[in-house]
Amino acid sequence: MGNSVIKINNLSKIYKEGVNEVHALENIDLTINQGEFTAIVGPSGSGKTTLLNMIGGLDTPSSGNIIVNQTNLSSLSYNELINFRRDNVGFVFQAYNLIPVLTALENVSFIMDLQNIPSKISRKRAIELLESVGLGDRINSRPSKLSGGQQQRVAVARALASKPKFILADEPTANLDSKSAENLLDIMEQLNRKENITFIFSTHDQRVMNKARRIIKLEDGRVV
Amino acid sequence: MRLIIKMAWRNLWRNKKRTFIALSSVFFAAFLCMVFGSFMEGATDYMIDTTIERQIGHFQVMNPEYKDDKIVDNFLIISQKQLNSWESNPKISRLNPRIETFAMAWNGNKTRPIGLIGVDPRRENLFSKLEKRIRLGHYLSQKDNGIIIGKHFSQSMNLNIGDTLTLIGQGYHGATASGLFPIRAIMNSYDAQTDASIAYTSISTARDFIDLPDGASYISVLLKDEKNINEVINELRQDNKGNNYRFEPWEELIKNTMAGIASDKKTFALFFYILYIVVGFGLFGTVVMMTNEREKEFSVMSSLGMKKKSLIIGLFFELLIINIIGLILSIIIATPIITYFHSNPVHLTGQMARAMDEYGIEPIFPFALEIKLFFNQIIAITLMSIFTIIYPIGKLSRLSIIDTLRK
Repeated sequence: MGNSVIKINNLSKIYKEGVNEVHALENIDLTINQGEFTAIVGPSGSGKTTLLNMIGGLDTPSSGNIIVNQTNLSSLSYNELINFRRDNVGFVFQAYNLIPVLTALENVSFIMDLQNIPSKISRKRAIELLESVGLGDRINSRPSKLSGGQQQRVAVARALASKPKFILADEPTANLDSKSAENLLDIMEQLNRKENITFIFSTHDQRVMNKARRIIKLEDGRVV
Repeated sequence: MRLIIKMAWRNLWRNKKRTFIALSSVFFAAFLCMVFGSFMEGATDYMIDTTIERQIGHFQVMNPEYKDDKIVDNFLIISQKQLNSWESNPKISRLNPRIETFAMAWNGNKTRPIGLIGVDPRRENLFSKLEKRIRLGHYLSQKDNGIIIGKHFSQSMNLNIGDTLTLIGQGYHGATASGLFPIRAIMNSYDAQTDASIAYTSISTARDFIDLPDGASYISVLLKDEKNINEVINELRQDNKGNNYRFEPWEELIKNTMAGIASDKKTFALFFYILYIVVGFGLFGTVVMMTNEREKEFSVMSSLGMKKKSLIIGLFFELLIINIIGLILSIIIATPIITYFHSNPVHLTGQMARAMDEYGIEPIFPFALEIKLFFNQIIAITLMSIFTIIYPIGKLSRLSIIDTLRK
């Protein structure tokens, strides 16, 4: 086993819906190591996205801790969490969520610009990343001019741009046709193997599960 | 910051129609406020300037008691020599002593009260162009013992050129004032009431009438440059330490007119405020739409590490760009129009024009060309942008990334 990147201790999340309490996650204990290619699977409503949001610092736990590289996320303020996400987490969303007014190149450079990386360096890295996902010839295209598969590949390049500790991909293949999905998975697997980047997916997709080297099953907010 | 400005600029053109509408509202509001503001400022400045130049001067010298109690006993005593020495002051353009008193006019079996104004015919003509108002007869000579009366007065008293009018009034220190005044001319007055109640004679005759040689109600002083008003007043005050003179600047002399102008300006300001409110709501609507439409984008950018402060600055830049373009366009289009009407004033026609002409005032309304007119719009519209940005600040401060991404 490698070094642990994420340590989750006794994590619970309770949502209030009117007078009812919904236990989205219950007493989760998990460790994710550097370089893992992990899929979190489970039926709808099992807590996959909630768990990913917690790990990414987008949501706060009701109880328990998430420790990323010795940093307890619960101890961070709102602005510290924003900086944490910028510097440590790469997000790949189901709906791609590229910024429509920016080109592919600018979308990938976006986080590096937020990190105040000089534009010459960020541009060079963004081009390399877009080439690595097979979009070297579409760097100046806006998202509206790209197919769903191409947009998701830009999203992966964007997620890698800040050299994050790990990448969280929420149902990354859900909106893609099978060819685009295979292509995307191959790219992510290659990046994982070559650069030892940690990937954590939430998925229903059997193809993602087949590629994953570790599968975490969730059911009713519990690891089973 | 470059990234924020770049995104703000591109976001503007995502919905060209909306941007065009917002931009148009800023443009029209600023344009109308500049043009109407310039017209209003120009018209009021012109009225004040002509009143100063033709009627009251930059300041008046009078007996301190006269201001509150305008009776003959409170008249000023000033010698011709002293007047001449003031007139030789290089900062003074011209001055004009006047006597204003009241008398009962009598002709045959008709009587009427009348305001008798004693003027130095040469000096008065330089000031008020009195000669231009004469309809029949001829203007007063320097020591003329005759009188100029209004058309309405002449009709009501059955008087014509060459007839003699008898005036009885009160002279200095309780003396009875009386005199016979041959009618030299009949003048036109725009205001029928003035026409029926004012008559002019030479100041020397008026002085004889009230039995006050060297007397004057006040002396109007017109300067070559208004900026020197305090300096000249101080000089005259120093030179006339022995005399108890009051120096009344023009703002005090036309206090009521100034109050009227201020009231007119308030009415115009109300019109401007309504325009600003319309534009403000237009901009506010744009901001509300811009914010609500992009809620998900804001959540994505926030989840990627962009601070809310930067998101708000981005929206503010969008508004600022709309305002800057709208303001620049309005300045580009309004400036030549204002400059044209500043150099080629609007010429009035009809009764108003005739009235102004009679008083020696050119019947025009020049537009004002003042930097403050443009500056005021820039300030007002920028303040509106700041005000409208309150909505996204509130909205973004409550932004829940998770809830928005789920949508």
